[in-house]
Amino acid sequence: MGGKKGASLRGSLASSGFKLTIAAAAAACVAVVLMALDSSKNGSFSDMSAMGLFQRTVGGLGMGSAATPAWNLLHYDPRLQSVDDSNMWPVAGGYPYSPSAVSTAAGIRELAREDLEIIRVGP
Amino acid sequence: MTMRPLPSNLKHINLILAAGGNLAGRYPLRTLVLIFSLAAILFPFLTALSISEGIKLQSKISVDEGADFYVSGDSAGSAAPLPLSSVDRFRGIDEIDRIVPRIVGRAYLQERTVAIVGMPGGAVPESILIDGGRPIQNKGEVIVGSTLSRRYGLHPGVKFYMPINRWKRFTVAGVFSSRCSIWSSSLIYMSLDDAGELFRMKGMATDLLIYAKPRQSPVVSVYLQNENQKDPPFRIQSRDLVNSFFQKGFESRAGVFTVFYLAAFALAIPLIFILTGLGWTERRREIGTLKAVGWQTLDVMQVAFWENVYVSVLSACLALAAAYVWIHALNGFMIAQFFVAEPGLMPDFPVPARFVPVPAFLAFLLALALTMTGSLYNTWRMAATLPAETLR
Amino acid sequence: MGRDDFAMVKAENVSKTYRLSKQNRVEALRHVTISVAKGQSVIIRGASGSGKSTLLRLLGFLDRPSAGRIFHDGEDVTGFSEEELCRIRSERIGFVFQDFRLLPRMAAWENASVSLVPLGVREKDRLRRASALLDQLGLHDRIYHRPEEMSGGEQQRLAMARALIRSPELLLADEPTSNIDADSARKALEILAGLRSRGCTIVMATHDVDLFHPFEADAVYCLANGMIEPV
Repeated sequence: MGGKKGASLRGSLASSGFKLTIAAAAAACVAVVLMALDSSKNGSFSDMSAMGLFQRTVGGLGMGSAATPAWNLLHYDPRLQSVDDSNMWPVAGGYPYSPSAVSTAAGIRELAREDLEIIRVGP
Repeated sequence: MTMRPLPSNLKHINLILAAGGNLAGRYPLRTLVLIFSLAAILFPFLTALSISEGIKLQSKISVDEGADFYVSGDSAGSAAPLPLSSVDRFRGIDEIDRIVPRIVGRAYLQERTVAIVGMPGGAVPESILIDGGRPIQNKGEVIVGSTLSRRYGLHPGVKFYMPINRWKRFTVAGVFSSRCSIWSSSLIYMSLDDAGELFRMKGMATDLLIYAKPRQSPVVSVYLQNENQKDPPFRIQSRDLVNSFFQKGFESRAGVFTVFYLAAFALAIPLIFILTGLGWTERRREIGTLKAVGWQTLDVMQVAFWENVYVSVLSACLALAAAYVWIHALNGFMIAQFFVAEPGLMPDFPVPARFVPVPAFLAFLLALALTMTGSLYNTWRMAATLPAETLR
Repeated sequence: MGRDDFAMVKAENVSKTYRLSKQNRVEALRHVTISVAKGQSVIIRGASGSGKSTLLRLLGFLDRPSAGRIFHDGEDVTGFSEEELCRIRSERIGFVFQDFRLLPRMAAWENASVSLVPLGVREKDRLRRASALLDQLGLHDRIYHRPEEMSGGEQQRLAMARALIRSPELLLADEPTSNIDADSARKALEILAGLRSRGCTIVMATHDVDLFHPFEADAVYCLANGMIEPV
């Protein structure tokens, strides 16, 4: 037996579901495009070469998440100062800037200076 | 008439579309609220991680384009300046290509701390300067960062001095382009002699930049460590050491941030519980009805799962788009100040940011975990119960 | 396990107790035995609270008995898993609820064909089958309407359509005429009578004494206080 003449699937839940699926796929595509755009922007030749030229000019400057060397050089560039001496400042309580609290590249070591000799005395 | 079993992929497609139909067709407003709420929770997370990735990229360039070794004096375990004559200690090492003394310091310009870099000769490529400026040609000339130029009107030709040494006058020759990196923004670049006069440390350098010949870094490292056995001692940082810690440092920070964010995220769970649990009585009865007409428990669970997937995908994508606009159009207004130590609601340099797939995927997983927590267990409990119970 | 090859569905000495709290229990059914042969139509009558709906739910595997056994098509299904019972429900049993239990915000044809979704039936086939059935039930103008936009009688017929979409062998109807007007009730009975004439086994629970004659059931069971009483 036939159903209603011209029965339409428009407005059905499945068609809403299909539209939502398309919307989700489109949103994912937009996200991918944005990431690709961002990647091309970040990887753009002129920007990368400008950053490279600048760093070669200044001999490599800046590593931390601080654009200015406020407080100390540690979080600006740990290569310049890898020791947090803020605990020696005369401000009671101090400012809790330390390698573990501030810098995004924390605790960079130096090449060890191996000069410790243990002199054993006795039999 | 008994139905012949149809291909199972059609069943799964039906269930996926049923999930979408529930969200978009039956409860569109609630779905929208849920998506926007989740996106609002995820957007700061994505913004922060994108800024972290941006800084990491710029830091990587700083490490890669810097020297192979940084040598400074040692004063009770802290870095200290060393005399320029220290260069002689390393001249005999054939594997060294060149040694460049540098002064890096900081000073105040009005209320702002600025970084001072002095290099021999002070040569600067014109391509990294903004139009209207030129490289240093004369004594006392400096190149300033774009933020300093904008904030204090330090345009080419302007003369100024700094409180640290009022007798030392400078003339702005050029301004670094904001494309150079965030660390150029508050930088004053000058010749080594000028920096020595400014800090009253003529004949000294804060560090020596040692550039090894290609593939000779390990050899130079050994020589430097041997040289360090003699007095006075110095501090050495090698690019290899920095590289090994650099990556770990960023990952560790990003990991710590993610953990803290998850903890804060947990506060959002009650909100999501409320939103996903809206109409929970109605949903319970609905599940009972579906079971009564022949839906299996797994069928009900599958619909619930796909509902969560839809919401998570849409909210993660919306959060990423919002973060993208926030960074690129609004320069990280209000948010960037928590992740780059620069005062002010609106940073006056382009906030570094990179939108890479991992944080976006992580955001999707977070949203999925949150929505699942809010709904999947309860759905399973309802679906696994006898219909008579859920229909009551 | 025994078999009863003559019964479509059978409840043997079933009891059902609801534990409301630590102290309070309700014995909804007590040692009830009922057998319905294939093609038979049976009325279970009783006052409100007599256990009719409970018995119907047990026969439709929507609930499990506290004691006793349930047989379906000769097979003891008492120990079957929920998934197995679900499969039998899906393939062979249609249930019409007293309060319809239609899904809100869903068109009539979607409500009617909801049991076909997990079977992988395509949307246009679901629409076709549901439209045909709704047409037969006099709902051709309501195919795209939601339950909340329909009258009680229309909702009742829609609930029947949902129960019948898979041409079940057994139809269980819980008070099919209680929430609707007389005219709609008459139409509903006509539909049930038509099903009976096509060989469908029907078990109907009702408290409406006036219903018996028009329906001409093959057997009538009387429930009172959870027990079968002589008619």
